[in-house]
Amino acid sequence: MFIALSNDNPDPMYRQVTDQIRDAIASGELQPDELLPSIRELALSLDVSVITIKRAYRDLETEGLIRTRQGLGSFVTAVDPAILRQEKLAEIQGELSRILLRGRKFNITSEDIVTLIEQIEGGEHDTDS
Amino acid sequence: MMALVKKFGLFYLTTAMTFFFLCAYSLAASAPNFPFLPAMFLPIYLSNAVAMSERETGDPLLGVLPISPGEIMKVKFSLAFILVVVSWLNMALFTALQGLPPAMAANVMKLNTIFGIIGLILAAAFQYGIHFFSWGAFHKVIIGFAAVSGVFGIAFFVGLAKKGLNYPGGFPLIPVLETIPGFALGILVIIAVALYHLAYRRGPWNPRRQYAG
Amino acid sequence: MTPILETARLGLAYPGFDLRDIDLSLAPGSILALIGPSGAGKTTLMKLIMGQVPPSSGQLKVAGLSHPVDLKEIRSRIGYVGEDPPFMPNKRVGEIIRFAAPYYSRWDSARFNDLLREFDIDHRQKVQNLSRGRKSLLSLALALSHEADLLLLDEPTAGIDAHRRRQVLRLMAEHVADGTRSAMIATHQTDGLAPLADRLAILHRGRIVFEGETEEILASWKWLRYRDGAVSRELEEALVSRESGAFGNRGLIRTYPEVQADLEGARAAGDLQVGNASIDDILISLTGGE
Repeated sequence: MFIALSNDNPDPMYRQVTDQIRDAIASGELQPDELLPSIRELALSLDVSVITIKRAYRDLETEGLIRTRQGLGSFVTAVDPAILRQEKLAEIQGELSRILLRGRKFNITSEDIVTLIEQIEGGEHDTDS
Repeated sequence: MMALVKKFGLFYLTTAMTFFFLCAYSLAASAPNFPFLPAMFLPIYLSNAVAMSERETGDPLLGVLPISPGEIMKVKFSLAFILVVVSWLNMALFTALQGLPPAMAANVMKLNTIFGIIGLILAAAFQYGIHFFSWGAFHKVIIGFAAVSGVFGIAFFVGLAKKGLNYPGGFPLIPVLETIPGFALGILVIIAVALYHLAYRRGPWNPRRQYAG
Repeated sequence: MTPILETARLGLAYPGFDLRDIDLSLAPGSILALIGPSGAGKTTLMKLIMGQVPPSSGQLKVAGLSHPVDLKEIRSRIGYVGEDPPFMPNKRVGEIIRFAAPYYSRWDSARFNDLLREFDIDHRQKVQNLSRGRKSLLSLALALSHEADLLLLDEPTAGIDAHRRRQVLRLMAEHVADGTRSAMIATHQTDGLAPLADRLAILHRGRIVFEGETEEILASWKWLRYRDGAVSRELEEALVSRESGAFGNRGLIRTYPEVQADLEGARAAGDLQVGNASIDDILISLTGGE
């Protein structure tokens, strides 16, 4: 698992941790029933306080993404990938609205943006084949 | 506890030994005013021991380590007490070695005992003085006291020597001492020791309640 | 869980100085950074916790214990690194430890020796021959070697180079990482502190002007860099440390979460940029830059 925290990121540290662990679960990098690093281990390796990681794990547990067994550690729960996909879609929707808003200043329409998307995908197909 | 005794004890030990050797010297030299001379200088030696051990009390580590001020005081009070007792025994030894007639020896021992009691009172007073007025202010008092005692002692003896009076027979205090019964002095000693112990127990370094809000 | 440290309206007043109304609560696992200009009262607060001086008001509890009756027990649970390393110059490191170690029932001499090796300090060295930085490190080694429940560090990195500084912060974090111990670090070297210290208390002229979660304060205080007209008049007035120049305007906002939604438009349009404020920025703003 790869987690990178940034002081420049406006999100609080604990949220950066929950976001990245959530992403890892959604992408399958973290499998159901997999053991997460201990709070102590993660805090020390990321150079953040134990309290921050405790909070991150607690939030993930509230969301139902992980469960903690006393004395054993925290495990990834089996999550419905459809739910995670929904959440990701909502996130991307927010980003798209921001992009649309930016484009409007230069008279860039949604059609222009769809064209751009097609170009990008076309480009990817080219490199694939 | 032992670590603290080692920390402060050296100065009391050197003081006791100095005392011992002074007595021995006086005896060997058959000085006529022995052993009154060293007895009178007990306050000075005591001041010296207290003063020198205060340097170790300034050890900043004592403010960090789990050592209560009461513990430190217990050691200091104990060491001063031991010094006074050892000095008294010292005096008793040398009085015996001097081969005085029994009545005279008894008077000499009474004198030694009185100085022992004074020593205890001084030791307790010094510790209280240092606590309430801080070392910076109070050490001048201790040194002043030692100096004054020294000067007085020397003047006293020079004066006596000039009058051709010898110790112990010619000493002006001896008639007074004869009138004091031994057991009365013994009771005074017990009271003095009890008060000394109380002075330690009830001192500001042994608080018995939390700080009030 | 009992807080490791708890103060209520704690204060100490003497001529020319007035520390007052200090309310703190430090939970196990927590690291509190005590920030403030020199003379603000950080060292005095530490002295009160150590029982070196009695308070003139308020209460103080360490692991539920109180001074002066529990002074010994409290000190045995605190690993203290004071501003001035507490060693008599003429003594050797070995001598000092032979005197000090027996006072701690949970003394770990293996740990102490490991730390001395790490800090490059020899048992036979005399304190007066150690650099200022090394004296501090010796103080730290002592503090870390008796399983202290509370670490009190008063400017532990003064006179220490950047590499060792990071080491000191790391050691502090490791000591507290098991979740049962806490640390309070007073410093004005704030870099690297924010992620480690989950709580922040800003002390100014003897009073606490802010105390709370580091994340909370860093989420609320943000730099806004914006084009003229990108933010409302009202908002602009509320900004502190405002500057205007050829390339736009800049100001510090203290209540970002409340206005975040309102600023979304300007942000998306590229007329406004939000940046993080450093602890120093916040400190300067709250203490008038002293």
